[in-house]
Amino acid sequence: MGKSRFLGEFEQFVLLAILRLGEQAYGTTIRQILLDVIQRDVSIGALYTTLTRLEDKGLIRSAMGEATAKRGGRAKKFFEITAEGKQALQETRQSLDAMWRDVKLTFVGVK
Amino acid sequence: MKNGSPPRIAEALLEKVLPGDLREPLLGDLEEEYQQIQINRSKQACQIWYWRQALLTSFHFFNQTQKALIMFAFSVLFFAALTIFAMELSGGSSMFFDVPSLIITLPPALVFTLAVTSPGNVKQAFSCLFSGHVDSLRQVKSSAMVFNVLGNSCLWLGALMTLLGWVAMGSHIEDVAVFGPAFAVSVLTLLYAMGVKLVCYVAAQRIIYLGQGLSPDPD
Repeated sequence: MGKSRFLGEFEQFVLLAILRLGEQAYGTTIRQILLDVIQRDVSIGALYTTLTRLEDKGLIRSAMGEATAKRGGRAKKFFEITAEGKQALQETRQSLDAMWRDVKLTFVGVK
Repeated sequence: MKNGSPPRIAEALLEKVLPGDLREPLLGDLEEEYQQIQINRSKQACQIWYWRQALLTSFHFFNQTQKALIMFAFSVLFFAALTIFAMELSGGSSMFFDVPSLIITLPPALVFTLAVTSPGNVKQAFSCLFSGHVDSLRQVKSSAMVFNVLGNSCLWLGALMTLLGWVAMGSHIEDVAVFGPAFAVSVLTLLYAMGVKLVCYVAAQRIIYLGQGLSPDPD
């Protein structure tokens, strides 16, 4: 059995964004979905730093697409989640669910 | 509708700072988004947006790709700080600054270096030093040679100019009021030359170190 690994919060968001986008997951669309869904405006540099780290860990893989004119003749880098990445997401979710079980948040002045 | 291009300087900054494998996709993503936001934002707002992305992204990758530049700049600054500290300890730094002493050593040494090597080699040597990357042993050899010629020329010029100053002083040795400051300036020339030689020595050694592990060039 492989060593279980827990993902950081932003790593989970990026992996989930890639899963939601399917074959259209590349820098611009991932940034856009993070902004639309969780209102998180990350710089493209921060996003690529995380994507590179996830790829180094073997949780995602990438492939270059074709160059297009609207991108100044530059190609897109498409990302896809690996089986290991899906497993890491699943384990992180299970761990979080286990920790949340029987926890009740109470706030002063809020019923 | 085709809109304007992203700010050229910001793009050049990213091209310099980004790792090679991320340059194309990341610059492409930024350009695509830049074209999209121009539909509902002013040109100035779009340029500010691009510059913000470029600066934040450069901040993320600068340490990763420009480590060699940072370390070299740090070592030179450290050397400069120590030198100024020593000057202050010996009675104030103002007496150690003399622009003509520098002018008669560094520019001629640079001219000698350009004559012995070539402008392309000089440019390449500084590029290797600041990027921390060398491609071949031939490049290592020519770049190290640039710094060796620059450092040695500067040192010899400094020694020569110092001796020249001593000859001039010797012919006015009876005038003590002139002798003291003239002696200080002549020794200062040698001091500057030795400082330049030290920096060039470190630069040449750095280039040689970067070339370790490169396989010999095919003939």
